[in-house]
Amino acid sequence: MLKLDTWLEYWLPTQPEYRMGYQKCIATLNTGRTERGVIINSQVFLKDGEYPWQMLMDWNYIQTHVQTETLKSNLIVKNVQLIPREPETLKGVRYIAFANEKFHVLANRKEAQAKQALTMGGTSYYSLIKESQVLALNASNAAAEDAPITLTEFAEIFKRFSAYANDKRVTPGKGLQPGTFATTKEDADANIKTGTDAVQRYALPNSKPASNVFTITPPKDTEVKRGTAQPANNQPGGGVEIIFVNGSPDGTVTGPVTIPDK
Amino acid sequence: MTIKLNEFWSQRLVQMPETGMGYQKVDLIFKDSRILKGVIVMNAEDCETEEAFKVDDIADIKIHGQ
Repeated sequence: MLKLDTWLEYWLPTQPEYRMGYQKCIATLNTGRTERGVIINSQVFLKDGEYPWQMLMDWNYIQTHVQTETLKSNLIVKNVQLIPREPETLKGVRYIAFANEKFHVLANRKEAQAKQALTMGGTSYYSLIKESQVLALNASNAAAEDAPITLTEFAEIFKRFSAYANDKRVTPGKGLQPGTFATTKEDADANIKTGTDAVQRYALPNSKPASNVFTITPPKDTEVKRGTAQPANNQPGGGVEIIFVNGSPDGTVTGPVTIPDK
Repeated sequence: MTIKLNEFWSQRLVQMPETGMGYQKVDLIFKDSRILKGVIVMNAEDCETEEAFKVDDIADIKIHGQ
């Protein structure tokens, strides 16, 4: 087991895994030599032939002995070339579209600046990597409208908060119009006690509290987009945001039930 | 101020996607070519605007940014 140079411990978590919990790579050591192997949890390098199942040890051994084992060697990993997973092995892994693509672009730029600062011996490396991580987090925290289309589960329940008892997005047959917003029952139950809570959490421009609550029980495999309400309208957002891409059929909406305004 | 849209425009907006839960951000295009951009419409009927206008002068409504 070899330890990693400090900058790698910050950089590797921002890079894709090969599989859950590890990255495959060609490591350049402090001697200039290269070795093929894997990096576990962005902490330790194991070269080919030293994987736990090859050494007849389990992953817990690595977790509990990483400090002592890496001290046994003067070798250290100074740089890595990550090996991406072969596309044909990703069958069955659903393609995840990059939402908020600009944050991915900005995160990559910051990371490139950080690597440049490191090679030039600047002191700004760690702050640049931190900025890159924040941008990467923003990319993953996208609004529903930027998300890929996914499907509802069996018996999944949603809620819609409205300042209007005669919400016009609810059809005469008690369905939903295409392109209608809602949230999950879980997010609503955990966070919304008043109409004012709903205005804040879902970043609504309402001058009146959204105190009319509709319940939506769409059929399984209804097309939706899932995301996070972005700050807007002088409200913080942060709530789970669902868009019913093609609406919901008649008979799937009940309510409204009224909650307190404040 | 709040300006209420008539049923014609309200039904047009109901067929368009929301911007957020219960509201749409729209551009109002008037018959004299004037455009009011980024107007918030609640429940496809209540326009929240600082600039007064007559509903009968609206030529078209589009979702802002589309």
